[in-house]
Amino acid sequence: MNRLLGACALLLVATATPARARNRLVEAGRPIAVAHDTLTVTPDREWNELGWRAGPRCERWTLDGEALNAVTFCGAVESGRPLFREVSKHDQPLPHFSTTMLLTDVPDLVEKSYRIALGASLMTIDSAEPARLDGERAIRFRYTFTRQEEVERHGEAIAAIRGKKLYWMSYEAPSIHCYARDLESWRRLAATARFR
Amino acid sequence: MAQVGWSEDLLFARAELYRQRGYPRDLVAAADFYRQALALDQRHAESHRGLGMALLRGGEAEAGRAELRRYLELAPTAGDAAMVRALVS
Repeated sequence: MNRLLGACALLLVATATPARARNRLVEAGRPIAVAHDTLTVTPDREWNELGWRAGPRCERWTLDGEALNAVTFCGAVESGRPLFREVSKHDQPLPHFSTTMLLTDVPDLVEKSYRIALGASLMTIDSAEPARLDGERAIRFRYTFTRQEEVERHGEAIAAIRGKKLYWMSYEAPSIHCYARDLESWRRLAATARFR
Repeated sequence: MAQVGWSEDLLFARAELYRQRGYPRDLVAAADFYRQALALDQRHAESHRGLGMALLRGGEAEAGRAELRRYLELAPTAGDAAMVRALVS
């Protein structure tokens, strides 16, 4: 166990970036607006909101370092819009959400977005099952991906289409030790999500 | 690539590209390629899945569900089986 913790600590040190001014502590015990103020969640422990955002309607939290665990919230993504910021709109445009999509199309959308936006060269959708997000029909899916020269990561996401807009939240962590360690913290957090 | 060289897997891959782009005409083209794949192999489970999804998105709900039911018969333990069952129920 100590060796695994040490590996995680080394990973954190190796990938740490300088603190950014907009990172802030998220206190436990009260509802917090996330995903461009389209959802609220009520954390039962302290989290950290990162200044960096993957897209204009997204935000990212971590418990103790983005390299070790990260939760992403994206809300009210409209038809014709990508999940994330374009990285190379001309050469590699990101796929767009469409109101004609079924919930089962969302994992494909996420996979294709990750391949371009995050350079995830290896990515698989491992499973998908029905779920609920604040009472709305939703999909919960699990995936595995590796960015270039990085460790393998597992992810679990929950997505819903409400009012012709896409809402999704995900949790990701290195598959060795870290993913399982914080999985329940993420699930407790996700269970508190409410539409605003 | 010569027309005679299209295997069910290549037709399936072509159909997936169209379905995932997802414009209305893409869904029609995707359904056509899935059907061509199934003409070569009626037990190609992923083509039944893709055809079902394309038909559902195109508004052909009953035909789409029938294809998804066939997918579940052929691949009952697929990773997305629970989600697909929810779509057809």
